[in-house]
Amino acid sequence: MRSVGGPMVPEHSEPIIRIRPSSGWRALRLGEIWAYRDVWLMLAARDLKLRYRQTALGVLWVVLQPLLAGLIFAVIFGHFAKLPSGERPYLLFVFAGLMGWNLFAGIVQRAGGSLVAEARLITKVYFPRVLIPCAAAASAAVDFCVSLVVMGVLIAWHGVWPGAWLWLLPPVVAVAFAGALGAGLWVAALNVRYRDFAYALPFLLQVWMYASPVVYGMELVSERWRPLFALNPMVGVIEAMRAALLGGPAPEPLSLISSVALAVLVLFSGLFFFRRVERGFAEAL
Amino acid sequence: MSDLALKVENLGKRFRGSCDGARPAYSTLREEVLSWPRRWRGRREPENEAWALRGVSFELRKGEVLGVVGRNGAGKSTLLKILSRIMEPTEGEAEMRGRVGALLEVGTGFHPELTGRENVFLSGALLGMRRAEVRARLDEIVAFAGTEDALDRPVKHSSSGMQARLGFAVAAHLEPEILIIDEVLGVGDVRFQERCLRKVRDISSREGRTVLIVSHQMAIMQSLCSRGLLLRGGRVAAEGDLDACIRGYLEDADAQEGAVLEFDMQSGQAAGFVGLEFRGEDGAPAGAFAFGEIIELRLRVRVRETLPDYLLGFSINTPAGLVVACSNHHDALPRGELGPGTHVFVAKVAGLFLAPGEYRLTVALSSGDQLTSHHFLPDCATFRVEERSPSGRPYGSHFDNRPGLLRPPFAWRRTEET
Repeated sequence: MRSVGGPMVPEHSEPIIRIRPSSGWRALRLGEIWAYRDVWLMLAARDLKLRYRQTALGVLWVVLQPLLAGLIFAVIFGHFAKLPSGERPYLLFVFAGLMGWNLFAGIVQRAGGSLVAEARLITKVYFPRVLIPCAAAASAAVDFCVSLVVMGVLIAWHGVWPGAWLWLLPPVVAVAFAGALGAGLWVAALNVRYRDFAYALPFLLQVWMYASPVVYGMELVSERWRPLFALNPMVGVIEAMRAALLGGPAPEPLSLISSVALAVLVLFSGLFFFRRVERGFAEAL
Repeated sequence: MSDLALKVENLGKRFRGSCDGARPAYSTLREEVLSWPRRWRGRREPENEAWALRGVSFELRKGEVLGVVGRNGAGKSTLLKILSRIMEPTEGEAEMRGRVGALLEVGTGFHPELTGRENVFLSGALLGMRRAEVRARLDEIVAFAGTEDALDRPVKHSSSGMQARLGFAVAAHLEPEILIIDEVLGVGDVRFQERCLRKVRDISSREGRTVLIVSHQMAIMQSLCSRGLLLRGGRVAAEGDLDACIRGYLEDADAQEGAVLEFDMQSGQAAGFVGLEFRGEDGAPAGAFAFGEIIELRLRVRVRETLPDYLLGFSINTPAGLVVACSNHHDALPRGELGPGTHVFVAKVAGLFLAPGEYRLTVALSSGDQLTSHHFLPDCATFRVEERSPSGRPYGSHFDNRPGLLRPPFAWRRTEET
């Protein structure tokens, strides 16, 4: 008496599941991932509910965290160090930079630690493992949406209006998300294999943040070094995020192209690498 | 079209080191980097490899219920994990027709902070149900578990027994063509257990689905299964006739004989038994006891992470698998949690009047009101009751060869009717 079909099969058909050893690179099996999309949704929803239910300050915390970080940076780098921010108020300048950076770093961190955190699930039930870091990434992306609202309030307060570059926002977010998810997949898989990788990650991310134009603008970087900076995909993302939210100057095409290309590269290499090593997860956890 | 549901051919699984704990399956970057120079010079460390499963072949038809039996480490869990696609085999292959549902744990994915309803949807999705399916069966699931009033509270507020019932109920309403169950039929009270058994029987006989069960409870196996598979050291020792498999299992004496036993804990285990000791009335370790002697059982437990609402128990069994007596710490010690460290539990067993012969001991440690099993060692130790009396006690006629498990003192009297 089956009224509803299963996840992998339409009603009445009998799928044949073959289990055999595999080796080397494997196909991504996107169809199976789609069939299990509810797992992704449920895991992401769980992460969000827990975050907002368990912390006493709930949503307020998600608002305060980037705002306080922005204020501290504004005082240290804007007020004391007097870093230039063009015609825009330094607080807005650094907040826009932080939004881009936090979107990336939040996803890498949360997706990166997700497999080890869900060890119990991985050893007890089968579903495409890639859904675990994807769910973690989705819940990190919600934080970005909250900070977008905060940004909206901030720019209205300062009377700054985003200009012609606003259309860049959705594609930039998509590029940042894709690149971060790809990096998160690499980190998650490496975390299972090498448990001390988790200790190195915060340090790497911090170095990376200062190598990206979060607290400073690209105009501070001399022409000689610009091509090197263009290799950092976060340069294009952050500059474009600023241009979109605070109006001009236009981001450099070279760094934008590099961001898109690297994000796509990291995402697909991450997916294939993850797929290659996921067969060993249950044993290693 | 054949009615074959499952075909397993020459399945094998090799673990690298992790099996005997010599080298964990994961390492650190530090170790990896430090081992590079050696590897460049072509000197690879010999890897510790062990086959957990080898050359396993069998077939199952639709509607059959297979009971997989074997001692701890015989490869049962590895087999189920391969068939439920959690692990890949190293060699061989398996072919399954239809949707596969695996229940290797009660309450898969349950989170204490989520409500009962949220957990049902999460667990259902993880086990392979679509949201619409769960929604359609929600009432049924909740009624089966008998937890209607707790549905919208975080499950941390309900008893762990209730969580276990809800967890099983979700899985029981999965409708896969092949259902894999690992040692989870023992949750909840006796009435709930019976409901679970009835459900499994329905699934196989009425709905014609195929079931694979692992259990150490031979009574459950006998009442549910139509076929048996006995694993011994990762290989098939017997297949087909259930009774023969159960007999073989009971004969597999991996019970260690001796007064003082030590057990290994696996690296990921939160808690487990590390030692077991029998002592006689004189306080000295002993593996054999006089008839009627008080047996002191000392269980050493190592805890790594605090166990909430733990339960430690043992049973005394005959070599044929009959439970003579059992007890758990709730009989005399308070309920509660068990903190990290090594704990020694002492149980003095008196007045059993066990007939002389050989007996086996099963020990188990679980937490969360039996929601999580940490260590289960079936028939792990053997002791003997001998035909001698502790000094100075008259036991008269107890040493003849009469049948019977117990030799209690019988107070006979004869009076004449006047």
